[in-house]
Amino acid sequence: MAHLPLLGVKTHSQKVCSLYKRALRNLEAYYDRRNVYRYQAVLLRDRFDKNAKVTDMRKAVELLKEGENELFMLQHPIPRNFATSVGGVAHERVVTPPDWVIDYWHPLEKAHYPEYFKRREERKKEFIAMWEKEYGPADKKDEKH
Amino acid sequence: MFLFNSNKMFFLFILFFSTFISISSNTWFGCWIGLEINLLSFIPLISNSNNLLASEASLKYFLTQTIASINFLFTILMMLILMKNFEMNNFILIMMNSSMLMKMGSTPFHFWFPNIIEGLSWFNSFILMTWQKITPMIILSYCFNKNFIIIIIIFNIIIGAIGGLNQTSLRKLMAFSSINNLGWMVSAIMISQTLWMFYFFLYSFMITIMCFLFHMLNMYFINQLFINNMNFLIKINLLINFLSLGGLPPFIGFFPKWIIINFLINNNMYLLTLLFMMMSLIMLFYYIRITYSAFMFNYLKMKWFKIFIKNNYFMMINFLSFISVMGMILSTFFFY
Amino acid sequence: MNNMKYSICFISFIFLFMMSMLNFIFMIYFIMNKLVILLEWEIISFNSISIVMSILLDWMSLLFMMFVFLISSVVIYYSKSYMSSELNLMRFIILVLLFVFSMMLLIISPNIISILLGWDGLGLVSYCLVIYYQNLKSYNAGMLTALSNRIGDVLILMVISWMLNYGSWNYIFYLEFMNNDWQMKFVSSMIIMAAMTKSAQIPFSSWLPAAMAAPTPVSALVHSSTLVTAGVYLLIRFNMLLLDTFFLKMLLLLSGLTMFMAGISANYEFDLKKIIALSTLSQLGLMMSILSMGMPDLAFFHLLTHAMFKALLFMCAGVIIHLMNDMQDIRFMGGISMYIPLTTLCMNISNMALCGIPFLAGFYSKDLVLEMVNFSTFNLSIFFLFYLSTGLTMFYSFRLVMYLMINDYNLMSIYNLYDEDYVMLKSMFILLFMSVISGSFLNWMIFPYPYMIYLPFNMKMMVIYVSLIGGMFGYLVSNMNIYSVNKFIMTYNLSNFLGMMWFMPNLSTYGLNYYFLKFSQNLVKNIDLGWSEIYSGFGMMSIMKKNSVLYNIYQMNNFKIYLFSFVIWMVIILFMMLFNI
Repeated sequence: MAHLPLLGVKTHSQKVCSLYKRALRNLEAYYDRRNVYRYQAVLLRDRFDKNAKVTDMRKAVELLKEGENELFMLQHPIPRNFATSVGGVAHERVVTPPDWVIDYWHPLEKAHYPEYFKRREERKKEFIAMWEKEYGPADKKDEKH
Repeated sequence: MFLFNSNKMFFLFILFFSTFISISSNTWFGCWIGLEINLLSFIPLISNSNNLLASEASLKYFLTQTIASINFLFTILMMLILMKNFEMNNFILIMMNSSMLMKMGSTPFHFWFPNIIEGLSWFNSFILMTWQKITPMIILSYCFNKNFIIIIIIFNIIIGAIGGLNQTSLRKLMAFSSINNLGWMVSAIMISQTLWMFYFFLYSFMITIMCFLFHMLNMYFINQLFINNMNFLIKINLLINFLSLGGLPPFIGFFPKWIIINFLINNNMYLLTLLFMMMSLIMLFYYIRITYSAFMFNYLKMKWFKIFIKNNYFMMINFLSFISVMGMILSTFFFY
Repeated sequence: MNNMKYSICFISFIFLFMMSMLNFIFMIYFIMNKLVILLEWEIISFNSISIVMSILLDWMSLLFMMFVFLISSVVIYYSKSYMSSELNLMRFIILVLLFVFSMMLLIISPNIISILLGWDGLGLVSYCLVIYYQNLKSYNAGMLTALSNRIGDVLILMVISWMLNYGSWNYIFYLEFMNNDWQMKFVSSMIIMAAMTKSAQIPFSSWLPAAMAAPTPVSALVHSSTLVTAGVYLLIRFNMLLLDTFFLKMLLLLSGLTMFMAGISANYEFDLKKIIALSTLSQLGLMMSILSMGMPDLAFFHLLTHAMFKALLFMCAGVIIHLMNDMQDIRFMGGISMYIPLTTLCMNISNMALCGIPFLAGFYSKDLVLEMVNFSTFNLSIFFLFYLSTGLTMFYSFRLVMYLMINDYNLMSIYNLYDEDYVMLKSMFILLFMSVISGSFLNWMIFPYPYMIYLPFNMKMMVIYVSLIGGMFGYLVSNMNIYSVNKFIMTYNLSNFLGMMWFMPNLSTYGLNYYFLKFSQNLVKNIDLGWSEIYSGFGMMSIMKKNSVLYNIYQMNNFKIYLFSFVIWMVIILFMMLFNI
């Protein structure tokens, strides 16, 4: 994974963008009416834009730190999450098992659904054929899954 | 083994009977004669012209036992000369006890014991650890200085426990365990002969299993236990017998120790009891250390090295181990 | 299975509904003839104490049973639709039935041992129900619920052991007789503490909002009207204990504070179910405080009416959550009265009953309670706690109405809300009917003679004043203008304190284990891995090894020296003997 930056190392602009996004989400939790939220978001954008042209890195880092601090001090105690997303009430309430689990069924269990598995095997073969057509045959050494 | 050698059978026979001579004689001199015959019959059993160590051990055994016998003879003669009216002086008692302690390999005079046992085969060390203790112990029980003996007991158990802690040789380890058990036995004989017999019988029973097992597996050092690829059941056998020897409750080794502790408390020897229990913990510690490493180590498994043990003696060992495990439980049924 | 006409839900519904009607008829008969039936079966008797299974049937237990059966039947019928796509519906229904069974044990038994059976059963089954959705949140909530209730179980167990003194565990025979016994003080303090855990009064109240991780039908049955009122019911049965002024004052203060705290916290909460749970908590505080003023029948009256409209409120919330794809945050909702009018109707009526709008269920009980508070001699702080809480009830109800029904729909741009799930609606209508009439019918039935209240005009109108003010605040606070700065941000620290139930959830989770874990970490580092290691395990081993090495030095000597030392020893002894030292 050489092309990815090291974990935890972000550029300054990435950090500012992240702060901006989190600040927007925080505002969303506070101002639940859409029009009010838009107004506040514009104000927030304005605050960010004012300092966008700061070229002095020391000052920029200082500003970022202040922003992070302000966001931390004003974070909403009950963030507005969607129910099934992380932190929501219904998060992981229904766990969908991945598809490959079916491959590990016992043959006796598979025998209950003969048609489905017959078609599944066909589909698998078709998929492999499609894959090989697009990317070439798989490397032998990758086969051990 | 001796069973296939007529000379050794003969000496073994004499060894047994000399003990009977000395423990049933009613004069000190008779005792001495028995001891001498015993000594002279044990030496041919030890010595092995193929093994230098065995010959050395036989010589060392001869020297120590002779010196002890000389002193014993000297003491009884002096007693005859000085003590006209058969009274027993404390010092005479100490001298006589010392020579007997030397003979049985008890603590202040025990240094020969691990040295010699290092040169013996397992069968000989079995004899040395069990049968050879009978005579001096019985003679000790005729007359002893109690304070002296208590000090000796304390020495015995402490040296037995501490000395065995760093040993890697199984025979030396058993020797130190025997020294520790000697402390128990002497304390038993201080209380009553029956108690001693009880302890001695069960102790020799456990020592029998251990020695024969080691003999069969040809084990002489600790690392053999966990290098060699043994059968798991044998390891279990070893563990059980070691725990039994150490005196862990469900096994039979606990029974005699329990009784002795009971009697010691009845006789108000609390400090001795405390020491016994503390030191048997150390004994248990190093027994467990041996067997645990035998169980837990990832031992080497060489391709062409495999022990096939098809020995009929294993039936006996297994039976004895069964007694060692269940003995105390089974013995409770005898009372119904 | 669920599409079958005679599914387990339907069968259970019929059974429970029939039981409810049966209890209703019996209740009428008992109350008309002033009957009390006490059945007793002696299970075992030791020297002088006997363990008995007793059943006490009087109008109170029959009435409560009727209400519990009615609500549970309706809730089970409701969950036929709400839980229709659930894999383990059978388990769910069985758990609910078990819950009803343990509630019955609790209601009918005048014996503290059989109360413990019901009490423990309630705790266990409610734990199983809270963790029914097996995600992390419900596990945490379930553990908090179970452990908080466990305190009450332990206290009941201790009461059992104290009651051994009296020779039997039928507490109703001892309450009056042994009231001045000093040991009764222990019993009463434990009973009160146990009731406080079950009814989530102030030191223990953090579990009630957390338990909203349960499925909504469960919340409707368990966390609104039955489980949490078990503590109140127990204290109603034990009300003789409250004659002691110290316990009375403590309980009055704590429950008043609970009422106030829950009312405020509900205003800061955004989770639909948690708001309702906090309003339940507030009403529980009201019941407890009126109970500790010495009016158990009023507390019972409010308990019953509250059970009706609170279960209805939860069921409406369930419908809304069901429609919103499990979304519970009220910030996502709004304007739903346009789309689901029937549910909104039920919701509004139950909300109004909660606020005490005249001639709905809540009016009869709540108004009576508040006027009795006014009428009795308590100080200003208690007065303010009651009236502020009444205003706060209006406050959060209005806020809820604003968020749910008045504002714009806020979740997704494409939506289709569906209000024709008649299984849910039918079950809700039963409760709707009850929450309209139950106040008046109970008022006429259970009070043999009416309370006489004589107040000046302003005092009499005080309830209406605070309600109007609360409602106005509720409207103003949730009405958000485009230029308005959020009130949360303006008073951030205060809002956090009040919105987090006075930090009680933190105190009863992290607060309980933080210092203990820290202390035990110190112990581990200093004692376990430190001193005790040096002085027992490791140190002993090293000393022994050193000694062993030292001993081996002696052992390594020349063989001559051994023999020579023995001879020298003998010579020394000999000389000692000869010279008679």
